[in-house]
Amino acid sequence: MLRYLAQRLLALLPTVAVPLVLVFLLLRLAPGDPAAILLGDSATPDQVAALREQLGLNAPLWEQFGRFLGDVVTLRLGDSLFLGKPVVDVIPDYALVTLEISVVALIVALVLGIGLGALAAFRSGRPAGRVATALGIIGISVPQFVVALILIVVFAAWLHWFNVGGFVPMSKGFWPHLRSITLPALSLGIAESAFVARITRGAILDVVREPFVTTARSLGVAPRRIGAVHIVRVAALPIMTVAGLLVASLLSGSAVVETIFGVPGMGRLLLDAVGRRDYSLVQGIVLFTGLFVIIVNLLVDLSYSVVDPRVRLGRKSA
Amino acid sequence: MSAPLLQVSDLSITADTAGGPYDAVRSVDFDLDRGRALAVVGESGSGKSLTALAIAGLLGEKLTPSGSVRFDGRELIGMGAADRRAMAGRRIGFVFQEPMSSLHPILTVGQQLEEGLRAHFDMNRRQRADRVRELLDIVGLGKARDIRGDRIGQLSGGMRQRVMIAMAISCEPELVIADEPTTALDVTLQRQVIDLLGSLRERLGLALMLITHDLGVVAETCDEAVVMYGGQVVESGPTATLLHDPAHDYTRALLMSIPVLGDDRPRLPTVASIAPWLRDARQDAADLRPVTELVTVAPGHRVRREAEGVAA
Repeated sequence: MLRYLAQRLLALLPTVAVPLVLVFLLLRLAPGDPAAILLGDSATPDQVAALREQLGLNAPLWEQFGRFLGDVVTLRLGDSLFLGKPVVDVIPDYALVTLEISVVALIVALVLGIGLGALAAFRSGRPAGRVATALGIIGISVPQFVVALILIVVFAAWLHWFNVGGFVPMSKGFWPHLRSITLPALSLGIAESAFVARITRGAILDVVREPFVTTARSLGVAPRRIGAVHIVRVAALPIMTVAGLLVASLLSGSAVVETIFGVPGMGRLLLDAVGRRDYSLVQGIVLFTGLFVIIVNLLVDLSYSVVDPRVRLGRKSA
Repeated sequence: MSAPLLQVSDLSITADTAGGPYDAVRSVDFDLDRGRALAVVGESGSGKSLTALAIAGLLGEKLTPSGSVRFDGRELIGMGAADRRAMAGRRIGFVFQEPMSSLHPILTVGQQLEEGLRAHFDMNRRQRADRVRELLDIVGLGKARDIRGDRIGQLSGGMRQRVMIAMAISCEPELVIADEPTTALDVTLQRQVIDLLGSLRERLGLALMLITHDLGVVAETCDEAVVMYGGQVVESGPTATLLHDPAHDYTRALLMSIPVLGDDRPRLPTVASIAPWLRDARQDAADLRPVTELVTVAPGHRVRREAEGVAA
C-alpha cells in the first residue's frame, strides 16, 4: 500500500507542474506588457517601468519562474488589486461557499446519476429502463443554466419554496444558509447527474455480459444480489473515476450557477477577477482550483485500491 | 430401476438470429441415471454446450428451448424463474470452461464459494466458513497455503478450475455439468481435473455430464456417450461400444483424429469440414439438413441414418 501511495505521489509531480506553468505563463504571455495591463490605460510609462522592476519582469523567464515557484510554496501570491487584500486571504471565504455547493451537488449527481443509470441498465429494454435512458440523454443535452432557470421557475417562482437569488451566509443561521444554496447545488447536481447516469449504465451493461455473472446465476444467487454484489463491485471503478472528474466539472460549473443565483463563490470570484483584470487573484484562484482537483483525483486513485485490490501494484503488500 | 435423474427428450433450441429463427439444437434426447457419467462429444458448434446450458437454465435471451428436460421427474423447460433458481447450484452444479473469466475478479475465493451456500442454506458465518474450508479440502486445495482470501488472479490455472469445481459442488447437487472443463488448461493439468471430477462422482455419488471434444477423456471417465454434430445426436451408446465399434461415419472420423503413441501417420486426418446443410445456415432460411432418423442398432446403441422412404 505504501509503495502504491509513493508511486501515485511521484506520478503527481508532472500533473502539478501543468497548472503551475500555465498560471505562470498566463500573465507573461498575455498580449502586451503585463505591467501596463495591470496598471490600466491611464498609467504613465514611468509607472509601468517601476512596476516592471517591482514584479521582476526584467529578469530572464527561468529566473522569474524560479521566483514564482518560491512565492507559490510560501503562499505569497500577491495582493488583489481590486479588493486590496492579499489573495491568500481572499480565497478561503469564497472557496468554502463553492465547496459547500459542490459537495451537495456531488451527492445529488451521484445519487441521482447512479440510480438512473442502474435503472436504465438493469431494466434495459423495458419501459422503466427506456424512460431512464431517455432522461439521461435529455439531461446530458441540457446546459446547466437551463436547469438552473427551470428550477428557479418551478421552485422559486411557482412554488415559492426558495428565494430566486440572495445568498445568506452561515453567520445568519445554518438553515437559512442551507436554503439559499439548495437551488444552486441542485442545478449543478442535476446537470451533472446525466453524465454519471450514462457512465453507470454503460459500466453495468459491460459487466452484465461477463461470464462470472452467468456463474452466479448457475449457483442460484438471487438477481438482486447478483446486481448489488457481483456486478456493482466491478462496475464501481469507472463510476468512481467519473466522480473524480466530476469534481473538476462541478468547480467550473459553479461559475455559471453562482452567477445566476448571485452566490459569492469561487466561480463568481474568478469571473469578476477576470473582468477586472485582477491578475494576481486570477492566478491564485486557478492555482488553487487546479491543485484541489489534482488532490481529489489522487484520493480517487487511492480509493480504487480499496475497492479493487488488483489495482495495487505490489500484490502481496496488502 | 427407477426413472433416470435426467431425461432429455426432443430438446430443440431455437436461436433468434438476424436472418430469422434457426434451430441450433434439434430434437436431442438422452438419459442420465443417478451417479453415472455421460459424455456429450462434438466439435464447436455441434450444440453440445447449448444443450448443457439449456439443462442448467442458463440460455441467453435470444435462445429458446422447446421439448422436454425432466430432472428427477420435474419438467425444467418452461419452469418459472424462482423455481429454476431454487434448483440452480442446489441440484445442478455447473463447471464452466474458462475459470479465469467465469470466476469473479474482485470477490475473494472464500466469498465466492459462500455465494451458493448463502443462496440455498440457512447457515451462519461460521458454518459457511467451515464448509468453504471443507470444499477446498475436497478439491485438493486444503493442504497448501490458505487461499480463501485470495483473488482469482493470484491463483494458477489448475487452482482456478479446482475452485470452480468446489463452487459447483458446494451445495451438494445431484448433477454436475462440466462444459469443457479442461480446454483452458495445460495438458498436464487436464488429467488432474478430469481425475478430480471422476473421483468426486464416486465420493459424492453425483451424476456427471461431461461436455467435451476430447474422446480420450471420455474413455476413462464416462459410462456412456452421446456424439453430437450439427445440433443433432448422430450416435449414442456405451462408451466402449462407441470407441471400439463406432457405427456412424462422423464418430469414426472423430476417433481417427486422435493421435496415438507410435502412430506413424505423417498427418492426422481432419474431420471433414462443415456439412453442406450447416453452411450459411444463418442466411439460408430453408433447412437443408437431410431427413434422418435415429436407429437403434443394439440395446442402448443408437445411430443416425438417412430415413428410408420417409417423405418429410
